Amino acid sequence: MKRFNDGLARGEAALATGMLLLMLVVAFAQAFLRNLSNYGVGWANVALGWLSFADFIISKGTLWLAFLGASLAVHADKHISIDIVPRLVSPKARIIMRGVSSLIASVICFALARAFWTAVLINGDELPADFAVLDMTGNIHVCDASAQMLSESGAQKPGFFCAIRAGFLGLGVKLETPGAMFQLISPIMLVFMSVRFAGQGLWELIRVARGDTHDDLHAHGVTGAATEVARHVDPKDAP
Amino acid sequence: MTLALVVAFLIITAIGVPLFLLFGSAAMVLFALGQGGTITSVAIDVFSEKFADSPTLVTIPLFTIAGYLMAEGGTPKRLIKLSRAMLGWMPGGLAIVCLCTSAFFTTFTGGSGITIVAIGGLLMPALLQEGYPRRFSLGLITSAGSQGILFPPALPLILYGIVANVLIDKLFLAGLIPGMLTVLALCAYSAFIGVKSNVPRIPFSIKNAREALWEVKWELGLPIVVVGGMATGLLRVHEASAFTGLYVLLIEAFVYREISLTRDLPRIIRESMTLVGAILAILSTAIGFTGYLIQAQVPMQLLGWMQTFITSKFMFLLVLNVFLLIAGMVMEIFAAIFVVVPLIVPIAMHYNMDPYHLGITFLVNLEIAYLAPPLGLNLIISSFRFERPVTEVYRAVLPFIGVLTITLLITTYIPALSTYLPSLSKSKDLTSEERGAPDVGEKPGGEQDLDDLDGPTLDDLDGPTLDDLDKDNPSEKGETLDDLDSLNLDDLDKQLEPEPEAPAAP
Repeated sequence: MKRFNDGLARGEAALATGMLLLMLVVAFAQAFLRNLSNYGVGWANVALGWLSFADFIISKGTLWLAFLGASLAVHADKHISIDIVPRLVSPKARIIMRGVSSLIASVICFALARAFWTAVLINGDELPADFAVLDMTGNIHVCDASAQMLSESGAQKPGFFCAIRAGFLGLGVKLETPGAMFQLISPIMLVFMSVRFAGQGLWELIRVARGDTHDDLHAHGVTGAATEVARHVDPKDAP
Repeated sequence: MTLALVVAFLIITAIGVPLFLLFGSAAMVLFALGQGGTITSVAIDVFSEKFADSPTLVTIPLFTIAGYLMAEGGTPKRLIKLSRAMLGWMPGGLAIVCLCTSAFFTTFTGGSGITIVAIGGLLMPALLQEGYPRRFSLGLITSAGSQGILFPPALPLILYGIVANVLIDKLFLAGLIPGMLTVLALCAYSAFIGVKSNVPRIPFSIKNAREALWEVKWELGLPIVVVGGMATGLLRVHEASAFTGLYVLLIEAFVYREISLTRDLPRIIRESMTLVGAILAILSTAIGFTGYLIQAQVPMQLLGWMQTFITSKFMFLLVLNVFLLIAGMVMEIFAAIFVVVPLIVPIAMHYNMDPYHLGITFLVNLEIAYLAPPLGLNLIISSFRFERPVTEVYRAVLPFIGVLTITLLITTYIPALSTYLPSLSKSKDLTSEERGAPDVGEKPGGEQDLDDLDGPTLDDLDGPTLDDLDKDNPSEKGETLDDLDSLNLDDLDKQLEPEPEAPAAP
């Protein structure tokens, strides 16, 4: 179980790492090309056109980093909380508090996951003009348009996206835009967080029931995050 | 019912349920019980330009990774060497070195306590060895950790900009003079202690200075390029953050070779993204929470209540300072930004306060709040890092809190310090409409009388009109009324999201 959890966290971290590096490169390339193109360099303008997906990557990437990071923070027990009371009580009481608060956190996470899921479905149900082809009966999705309609409106069918959309439709989930698909990260990660919180809460309570009351106050929260860095700062560097 | 909910909320707060879930649960409960929203309203704003589509939000992960890379590379060591060679000859030299290096470092690491462990950890033994009193050294390192949050691109500065909806590049300029003022004031105090404690001074050597400067040349170029790039318009804010992240990665990995791409980089990215996740999670649910507050017109009610006894701007500023200091003592800094800013921005606008002046005043207050017992983050980190009882740290920071309070008063009552530089910038200010959420529908500084405060009129209440639909659809932009044909009417109800702004007073 622990190995599965750690493996999952490694996967999330790898995804976050890939996304972060991609965002760094894309945003930098955009800045570079924009300035070149302002100086009238022709090919920069063309390349900038290729990079038209950059803004999409940057905004959806931030959403991904936020939720992947939030899930990693649950895994590493690094979420920020108001911890004045836990600091004042005995280690045993602290572990019990952490157990109970984790179970409550699990429930709240699950409720949030449902809210985000509904919101994604609402967004996924909308058909923005970019993905619509006009028909006599109204707008239909570009993926559902016939060859004739496509040629009449001069639109092109994005094959890869349409395949994924069809896959989701097969599962009974209607997501009309790539944007809505990328938003799925939030309910998914909230479910992960909910399960993790539940596991941690149960574990702390089992630990106390077994009589294990060892607790390191500084392994959690923001202090924990700062200590993590401190471990890698070399004391030999002191002047 | 209400009382039971409040008590339950206080209990889950006290036992340490993470802040982002406190905001999330409060928002869900309020939306479910209040009018004009559903539980889903909590999530809708997260996908809008208030969060995911905000051009500023992306700077948080990108600047944070830069800060982490510098912290784990040799940057602290090189910065200390440089400032020692440059400033060590002054009275209180090493203490001043500590302040300047910490300020530089916090700027890039976002005031998350890393400065105290990275710089303070290196300088504490040296300070004691040179003969600075122990209590002074402890207080110095603890307070130095919060210097720098006024300089671009510090994380609290960016967060304030996002939450208050002001232009980040102007806010960056606004912080420069007050930021330098605070560092200088603390330097003066340190020099005084240095002389009083008879700390020996190191003679200045051109050779050492040149050597140290040469060693740190790659890092020193960074603030010049980033601030210069943004001031000249060559780099937009998010591009500057990408440049910083990529640049620091390249110099640490390939020029200094202090960070291994295979061994260190994945771990550093993971640690930094964990911190980013913890902060953005709070932001994502706090947006829903403040969305409810604004919809329920809480700021306007507060304003109406305040108007009965606060009559002048001067009095408002005083009350603001006291309120922020108390808020800072019981709340963590990021929490304070998320909870307090949406409440005070509309009120401050009513009292004709410049939005950038308000931002900087707010952040100087938070600099002190970092050090304010009992919850100040720096106190706890410092107590842990240097293995001193937290009560000793409380006593150690007191004189520093005194100095910072003086600079706070100066910043508060001389607005020009924070408004002069932004006024030179060519960036166009947001109109109150563009500013969205925190606005209560009046021009900055506009007069408003009490009649405006008595809530929505009937016209405001009978639901969104077709025109509102465009605004309220949380989807991609570019929708026309024609798009509505594809929806059936049942879905429409679901789609309607409560008006995010308080209805404008006639």
